[in-house]
Amino acid sequence: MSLLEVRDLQIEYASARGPFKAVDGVSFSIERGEIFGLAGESGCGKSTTAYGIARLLRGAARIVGGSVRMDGVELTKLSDAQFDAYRWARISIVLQSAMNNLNPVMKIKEQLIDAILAHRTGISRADALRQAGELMELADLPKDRLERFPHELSGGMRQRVVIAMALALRPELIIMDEPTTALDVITQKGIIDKIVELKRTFGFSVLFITHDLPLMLEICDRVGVMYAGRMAEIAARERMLAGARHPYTQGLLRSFPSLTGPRVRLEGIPGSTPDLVAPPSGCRFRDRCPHALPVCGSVQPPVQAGEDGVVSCHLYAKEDALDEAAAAGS
Amino acid sequence: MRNNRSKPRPRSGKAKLWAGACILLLFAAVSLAAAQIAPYPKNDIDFEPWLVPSAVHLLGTDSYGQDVFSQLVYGTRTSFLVGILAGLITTIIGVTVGVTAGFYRRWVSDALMFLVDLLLIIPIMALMIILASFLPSMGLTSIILVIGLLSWLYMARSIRSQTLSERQRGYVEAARVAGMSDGSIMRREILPNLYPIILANLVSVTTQAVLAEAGLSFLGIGDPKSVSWGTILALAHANNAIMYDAWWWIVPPGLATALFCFGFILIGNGSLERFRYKRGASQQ
Amino acid sequence: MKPLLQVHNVSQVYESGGFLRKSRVRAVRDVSLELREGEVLAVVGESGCGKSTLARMILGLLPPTEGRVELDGRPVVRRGGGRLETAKRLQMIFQDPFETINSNQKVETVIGRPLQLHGAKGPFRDRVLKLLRQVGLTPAEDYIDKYPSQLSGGQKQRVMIARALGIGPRVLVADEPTSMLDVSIGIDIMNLMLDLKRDHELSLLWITHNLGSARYMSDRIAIMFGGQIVESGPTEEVIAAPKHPYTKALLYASPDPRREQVEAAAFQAAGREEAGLPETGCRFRHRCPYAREDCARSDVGLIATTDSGREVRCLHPLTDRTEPSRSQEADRKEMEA
Repeated sequence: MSLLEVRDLQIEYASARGPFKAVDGVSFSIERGEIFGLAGESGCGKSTTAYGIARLLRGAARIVGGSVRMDGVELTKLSDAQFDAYRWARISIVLQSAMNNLNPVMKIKEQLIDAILAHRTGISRADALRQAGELMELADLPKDRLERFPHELSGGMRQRVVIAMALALRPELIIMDEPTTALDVITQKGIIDKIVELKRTFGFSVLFITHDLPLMLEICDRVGVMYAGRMAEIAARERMLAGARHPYTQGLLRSFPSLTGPRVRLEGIPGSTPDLVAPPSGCRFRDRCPHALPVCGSVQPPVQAGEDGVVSCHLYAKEDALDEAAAAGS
Repeated sequence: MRNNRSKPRPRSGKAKLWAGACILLLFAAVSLAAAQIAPYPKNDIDFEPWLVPSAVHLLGTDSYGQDVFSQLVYGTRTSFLVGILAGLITTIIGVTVGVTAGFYRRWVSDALMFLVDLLLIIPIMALMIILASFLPSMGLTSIILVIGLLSWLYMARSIRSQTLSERQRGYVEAARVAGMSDGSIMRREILPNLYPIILANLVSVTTQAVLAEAGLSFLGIGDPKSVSWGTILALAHANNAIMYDAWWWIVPPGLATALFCFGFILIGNGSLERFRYKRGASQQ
Repeated sequence: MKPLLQVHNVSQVYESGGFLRKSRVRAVRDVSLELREGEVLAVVGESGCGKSTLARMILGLLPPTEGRVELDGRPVVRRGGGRLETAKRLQMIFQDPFETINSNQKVETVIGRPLQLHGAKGPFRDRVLKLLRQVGLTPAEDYIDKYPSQLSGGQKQRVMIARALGIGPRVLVADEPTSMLDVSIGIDIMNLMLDLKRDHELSLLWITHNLGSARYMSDRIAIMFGGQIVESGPTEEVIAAPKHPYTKALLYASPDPRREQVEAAAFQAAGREEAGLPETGCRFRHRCPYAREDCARSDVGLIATTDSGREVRCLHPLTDRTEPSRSQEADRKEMEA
């Protein structure tokens, strides 16, 4: 059984112009010890999906359908008190801005100890301090940094502290939302390598969210690409490197200039993302798609799972699936 | 997320603008056509005192035997003039000084702000009373000048702090790269972005000017010969109108003052909403 | 090709703090550059390396503490009489189109006002429409009367490009103009700038933190670290065979799944921001996997290495055979100490 099973997740935002689904029927699973990437551009719903899983949705957003199962337990049905047993202990989360959210007037040591004591009952302060020291070592931070205040550390070191905190209770799943986007590439590389190394040691799974597809393809085992609230394609890293199937993924991959190979003109993706309050019928990518068929305008592409992963595009629809979809759509 | 987390659509502000404009237009019409509207001449004391409102005297008469309605109509002219002119003087000086001081940030700017801070701790009404009592004659012009010249300091202060933050914005640098001069960056790029704050200030300055004129007149420091809403109230007070239950002498000038200020506030809020509506959510 | 824009030994010192504890930060140190006619020069570096300060000095928005900037042999000025002449020749595309577009003005004014300023007579609406078409905002009639809040980030950036283009410059400085945009939109902006550069015979200074976009855009590249240029030369040569260890670290750290992984361990040291920046000698030496003792010598200048115009600020430029001088183990010990 997969560690995490997300099925047909639907998350709705209330806006002044009416409600819209930021996440509209997204399904994927994460295996144990796997790094699963969720990619896509701004507004595609990747962060909202992660927040929905971690129950961090605030204010106007709420889950209106679908299921999130961890080890067979339906997370969306748990009460807040019941979910507290999962937070940090089994699922922890690292946000892009987390490094700026450390308390500026508390030493790193105090913050780590507090985090440990808050979630693990029945251990002494001295034990917590010892564990804090171990966490620093895990994150490759010299122990004397425990005595420092957050502003005395560089951005990269602060983000390492945050990752160390996320590891404190040895969770099974760590959700990372753009954990290195604010950092320089060399710093980013160090942190990414560290995450991979720690994952090998402890065997946790990672849901890694970024807009940076090349970065994702360097570290993730499998990658899901979202567009306008829907999952366009899920494929293993190797499969995607060999050639993406969904036209959106193909376009996205073409948008990153490479450092190797011949210098060729890249075409990007013309147009812009659709308005989710009034989404277009059929395939949401059709107006920007170079291969759009007549059917794309009327019928939502069926989700097809196979050996190569999952793709949601009429180009790959089997005849019967297409008929089914047409029947369902009419 | 930038694209689809739509902000609440701002109200268009049209209704408020219309309502405000109607009120102010009404007052403007009354002050222009005062001689035609008022049934009796200004300061005419030919009638019985303390008459209650009737068809002959719509708002009765006061203790001197003046027709209150006629006095109110003539008073509109004074109050309107004071509000508009004092507001204008204040705005012109306040905006010029505020924007320049905020844009250049030199010692002039510091000195100015020191002066404003100093004045801030003195109650403005007291200051006006002192100033007014030193001036040889307290004509309408003096009142307008006293109010206008004292109010701009506060306006300059708030405009300056807004300019300070605007000049850090990227569009100022972009304008400089395009080759614009300091003057036109201030006038044509920054100033339109200050519109909401200028408007908010203008509204409060104008209403304050009307109220200050009423206040000064009420205290008897105003121009004794002119009629304004404030002088009507002052006379009512001096002659114990309340004791005689002469509500018609007190309520109308009070209501007129309130309505006039309300009209201005409606215009202010309405155009703010209009401004945001047209320029979208990026203007906060 | 003759140099159009020349940057002669510019430095920028920021002073902060009170008069008792004044601290001085040398953000840019003795940088010289040349932008030749019709070329694209990329300046690459990470945040805090001084590249944006350098851009502001080149544009004349920030007077250099030392050194000077010349355009066609004449100084760059932003105030007083010469400002129009400078603006006419030197324009900029900013990083954040959300911030640099005046949200108060319709597209027509955003583009039209500089046109007027630079002497456009009569109705300029047609010229604005033409510019909108040139930057791919078609049908232009749909865009000209819009306020910025009705435009997407990519469209705003196109408007800002149209505005710069309208003035008719010869040099365009672009400071990370795609970093606020989605990648698929960003690549369109890059293509647009390359097309405009070709059609209007512009020279382009492309400032970025992203080696990939630098390679995509530029003919020559200059790598900045710690306020200095550490390596420069033809883009393809530098990226294919970097001579400065920092360039190599940057190259190695830039995600590119199609590339073979190289010497992973050696470059972990390069990510150690906490090692600090020494004031004298090679500024990268505390993080350099190839550092030797003499790297603390104070006279590390830019050294020309080949006749194709490659320069490197390193006493021991990398060759194919250079081996790292230190191990990770040694690094860790050093940090613990």
